[in-house]
Amino acid sequence: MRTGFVSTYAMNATMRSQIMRNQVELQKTQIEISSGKKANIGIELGPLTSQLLSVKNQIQLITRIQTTSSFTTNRISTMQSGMGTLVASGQNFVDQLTAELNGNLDRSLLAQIGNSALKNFEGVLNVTFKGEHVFSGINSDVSAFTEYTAGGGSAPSTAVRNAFVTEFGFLPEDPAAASITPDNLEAFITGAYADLFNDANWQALWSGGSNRGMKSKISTSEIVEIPVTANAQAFRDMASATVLIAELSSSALNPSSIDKLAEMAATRMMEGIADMGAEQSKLGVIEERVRTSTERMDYQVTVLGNQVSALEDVDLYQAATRLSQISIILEASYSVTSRIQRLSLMNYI
Amino acid sequence: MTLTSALRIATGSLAGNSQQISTLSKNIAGIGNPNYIRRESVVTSGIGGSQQIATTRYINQSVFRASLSSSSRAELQRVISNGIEQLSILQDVDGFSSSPTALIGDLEEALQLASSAPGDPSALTSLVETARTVAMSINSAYEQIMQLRQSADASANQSVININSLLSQIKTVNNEVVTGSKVGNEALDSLDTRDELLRRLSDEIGISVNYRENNDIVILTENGLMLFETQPRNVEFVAQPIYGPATVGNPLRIDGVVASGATSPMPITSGQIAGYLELRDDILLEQQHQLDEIARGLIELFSEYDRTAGGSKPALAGLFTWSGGPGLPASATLEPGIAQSLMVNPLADPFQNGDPNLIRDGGLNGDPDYLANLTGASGYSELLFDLSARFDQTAAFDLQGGLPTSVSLKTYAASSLDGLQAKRQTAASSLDYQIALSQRYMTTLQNESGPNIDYEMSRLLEVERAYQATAKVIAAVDEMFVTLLNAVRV
Repeated sequence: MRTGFVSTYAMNATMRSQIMRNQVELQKTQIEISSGKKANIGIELGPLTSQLLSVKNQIQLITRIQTTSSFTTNRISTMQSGMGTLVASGQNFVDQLTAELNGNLDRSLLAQIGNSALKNFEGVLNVTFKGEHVFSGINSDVSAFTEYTAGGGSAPSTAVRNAFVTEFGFLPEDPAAASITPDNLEAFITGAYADLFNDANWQALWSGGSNRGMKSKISTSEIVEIPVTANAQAFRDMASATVLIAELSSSALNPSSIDKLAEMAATRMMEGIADMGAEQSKLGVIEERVRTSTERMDYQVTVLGNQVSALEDVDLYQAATRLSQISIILEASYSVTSRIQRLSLMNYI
Repeated sequence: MTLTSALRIATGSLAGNSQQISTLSKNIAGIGNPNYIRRESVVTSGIGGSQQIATTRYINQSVFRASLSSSSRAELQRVISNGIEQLSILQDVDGFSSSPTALIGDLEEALQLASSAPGDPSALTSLVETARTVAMSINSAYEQIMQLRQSADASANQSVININSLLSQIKTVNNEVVTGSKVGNEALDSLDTRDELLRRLSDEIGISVNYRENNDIVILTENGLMLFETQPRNVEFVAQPIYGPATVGNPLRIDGVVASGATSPMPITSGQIAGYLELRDDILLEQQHQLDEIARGLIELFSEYDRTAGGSKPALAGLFTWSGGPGLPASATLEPGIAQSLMVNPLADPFQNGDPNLIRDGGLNGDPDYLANLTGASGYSELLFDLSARFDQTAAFDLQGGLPTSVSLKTYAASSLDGLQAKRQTAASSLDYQIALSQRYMTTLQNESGPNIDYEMSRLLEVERAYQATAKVIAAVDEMFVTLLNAVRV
């Protein structure tokens, strides 16, 4: 008869494999405590692994969109401040012209006013952000306002002078220009001259800008277009006002016609200033949309971040408890092993 | 009863004692050997006080057989689990950052950057760079899968070599056992060797052992194919030295019957070789198909189409192309090897004299009908938005990938990762279970059949005392003879 029999080898082997298993567990717990994350994500999560990855991808993408929508914000604020400058200098232009009215017109001063307003206008419209002409819409590599040199020094100037010649039969500097009445001049400005600033001519002569604004993604699902480009009426009015003074102030017009010239330029500029307010508020709407969507994305990142930690983080308190538990078990195994090894009939024979 | 008979009994007892001591010392020598089966001396008393000592080997056959089949299953799981682990390690560097799912995420991000600054050549160039990394990661993952298939094939071949050599060794040992049994002399050491060989055989392939008269054995695979009956049967396998995209591995043949693959009437189900063949023909092949489908999906996603009204020219490869480009691979059809030839279109690659701006404008292949940015505006971002929207649009995939066929590329890549990780999780936990079970059987078997040093020592003491007592008897008888002889002389 045999009662419960134990093989010496099995007894030692069981002890060894038990210690081994605990050490594997110990190593895993150590990694978890030092990294704060699960030791082997794939094995722990199994079929949920891609969820972790897609949440991480989403965070990455949203953060990227936040960075790139800050480009949009910067573009818009560059435009806003430029347009602010245009309104202020336009106001100044009108003030100066009005002061010059009432018969005491100094032509050289008028030319100065015109030229400086023109340079200012050019500077603002051709401003760039990261190498892009912000007022050119999607034609971002082309300047929004072609350089203008009065007196036929550039293509647009030549076009203006040609229109003048077609209307009156002589150049503005021709002494015969003194015969032009204020009414004649008004007919020219509202007719042939105004045509130079219609849609087709504006794009052909004055501006390389596009009607379509730059588009950008401001959230995972929202794409906005910057609604203002140099083709807006406000810019054309301002351009036509400044060019009028810059080109014709040094002409041979008689004083009453010059008066008419200054008066009409001031009116145009005022229309431009009024329209500019509408354009600025269009930009403001987009600016606000970008801002709220950035805020919303901040919130999304926080929520998604919580999801990531729910998937991959370990409960540190629990892991630490597990670690001390395993150490206790291991120590117990060591002391039991050494005791059992000492326990032998041999010692008593 | 005479003094002479007492002396004869004592001498017999001495012989018996020494035989027992030799058995005990053998047992003690086997203490450290996990496969050693304890011998037990059985003493029977004969007529006139004579002793007969029979030595038997103590093994529990049913536990032995259960331990054989559980170790075959544990070996199967070990091979599969290791294979999946190796496959996962390829992707699981730094939180799966090189898995197709993460790579697709990187592409989306690069597209977002490019669409926010379409006029900036550096943003488009960095999109091309990201695409290059994606293509190269997929190429190398694909090559590694084929290497893994090749190495599974080579391991299966090695396993077949082992099986054949084990079977021929078993033949020799089995002959010794059978011959010994016929002449009534149990060849105990040969039995030990045969059990050891069976154990090693069961690691390679799942077996079932049947015993016949004279301790002869017949070995079948677990599903009933003959491996050994008096003579070893043929186990045949032809290794494939190189694995390409369309390589099909050779099947295993046992005794002339195909024993692996879909066409097999009786496929083997356990042991290392079953694991290697399952890896080669199912798990790795499926991953290979999925990678091919992901590569094809990428080429399709970035493809460009005829934009003229009523235009019917075929779609052409865009940012990504392949060896069959610029035409697209057939939709929803597995194209073996496309993941190997996936590359960034040289026409868009600034390092190969290409123009990255074409990704923004369309018409990459030089045909103006495919152009999206008709005015050539540098701030044009519609096409880039369109491309990033396509990541979430449903595409069609081949059924052979073993995944849902009508999902977005993003979902497809995610399911591929999930499928593999689910298998990894299952394999790891079932490996733990099978190893624990197999160890449990081993422990039970060892406890039943292995020697215990204390037991052997106490038996040794017993025999020693018996020997001393017998010697005492001889001395006493001798003394009695002396007394008797002295008395006679007087």
